[in-house]
Amino acid sequence: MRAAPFRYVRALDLDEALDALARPGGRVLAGGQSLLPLMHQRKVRCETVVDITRIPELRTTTRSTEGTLTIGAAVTQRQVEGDLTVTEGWPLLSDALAHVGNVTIRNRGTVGGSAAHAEPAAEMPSVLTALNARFEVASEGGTSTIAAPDFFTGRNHTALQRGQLLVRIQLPVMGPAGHAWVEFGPRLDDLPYVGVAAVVRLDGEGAIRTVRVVVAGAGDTPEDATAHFASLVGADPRALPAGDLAECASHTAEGRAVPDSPTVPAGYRRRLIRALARRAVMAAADRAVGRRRGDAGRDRRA
Amino acid sequence: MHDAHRIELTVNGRSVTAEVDARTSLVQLLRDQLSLTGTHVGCEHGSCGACTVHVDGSTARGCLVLAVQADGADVLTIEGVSAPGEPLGAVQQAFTHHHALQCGFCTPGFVMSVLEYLDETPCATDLARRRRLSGNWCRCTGYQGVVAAVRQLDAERHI
Repeated sequence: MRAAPFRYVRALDLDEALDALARPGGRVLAGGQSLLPLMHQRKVRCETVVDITRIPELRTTTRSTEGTLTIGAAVTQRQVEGDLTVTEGWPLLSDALAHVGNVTIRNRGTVGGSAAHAEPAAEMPSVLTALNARFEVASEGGTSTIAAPDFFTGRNHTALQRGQLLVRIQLPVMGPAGHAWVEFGPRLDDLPYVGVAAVVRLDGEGAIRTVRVVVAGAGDTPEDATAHFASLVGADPRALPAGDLAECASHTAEGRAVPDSPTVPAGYRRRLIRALARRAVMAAADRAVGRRRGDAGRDRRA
Repeated sequence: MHDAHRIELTVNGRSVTAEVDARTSLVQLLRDQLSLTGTHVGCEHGSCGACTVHVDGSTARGCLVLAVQADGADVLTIEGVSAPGEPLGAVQQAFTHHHALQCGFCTPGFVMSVLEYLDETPCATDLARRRRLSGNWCRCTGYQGVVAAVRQLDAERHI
């Protein structure tokens, strides 16, 4: 089906984009890999589509002196996936990106666009939450930064107001950590039913200091399940107590907001959450140990 | 409401000027205005891969690019891979040899995807090849021939 008629505006700078978006009926077009299918199916209709992909300042990825990674809203997923700075410093992000659609989709789809689209079961919103992302939002009045938990406000809903544009995503230094992204869904390229991001950090003695867990598909927004894994703090990551881990995973799956549908009944979804949360934390703990061993080896050589 | 835009782009090495409505997709431009009907329309929402072309050197879903977004772009379609009367390209030959097509509807999209893949680090296994090409769907062949063709193309890369 053809999209309902709309006007196309190509913004060449930020001011032009903000001006176009300040008027009613405007939607942002970045990669178009989420928006255009919806428009072809007429699930979304709008007056004006504002193409932001030719605004130079939105197409760059930079790293600050403190180490913060800043990804422009129009940087493609494929660009981020292949960026060695990201692979080394934010491996959770590059790992998860490999699961987003397929190469062709990622050639045009943007990390910023995935964030703004805020699909609950998608990889980017939950992974960015697990990485403590901050979202830089521009409007005619200036720029502000929104933390991930405040940015994702509902199913396909963010804190972005009319006239505002997501311009950059900031990722603080991840530091030495073990990470994992685990997902499960019916088809490789489609959204998963459930995905879990886990980041495990160790203390000076090699025991677990923090476990960060964020679940995609457990509700309308990324579900921060970190609190459910508090009992693992202090544990030996090489020998995670199986009973404790299972209990943490079970609590994670007991959330009240777990969606229910004929194709994915809530009970099945809970089983997925439990299984994937366990696997993600185990894999992240494993990587944390491996990383520490590697880092220790490096220190000795120095 | 029509929102017409004049665009200039390169298609298969030739300069092209066209007038397109804002909501015309790239694949519609290629097929309806440029008579390049080798690129096919399947699902219209980016899943099936039948509309896969190259834009500025990498694959794109022709159904998920607005023609107006392709202003200034360098587009390659299946017609640019080999011309009528000319010998088939290596990917097309491998597909023929390994029975990787039956009705041929998905084939141009597959060829464009495989061409991009052949510039990347080769997959080590058939499973990895299947995953890498998960963006192209075939209803006829069951994919065995496609995988065999790609396996051969990978083997020939080392020559």
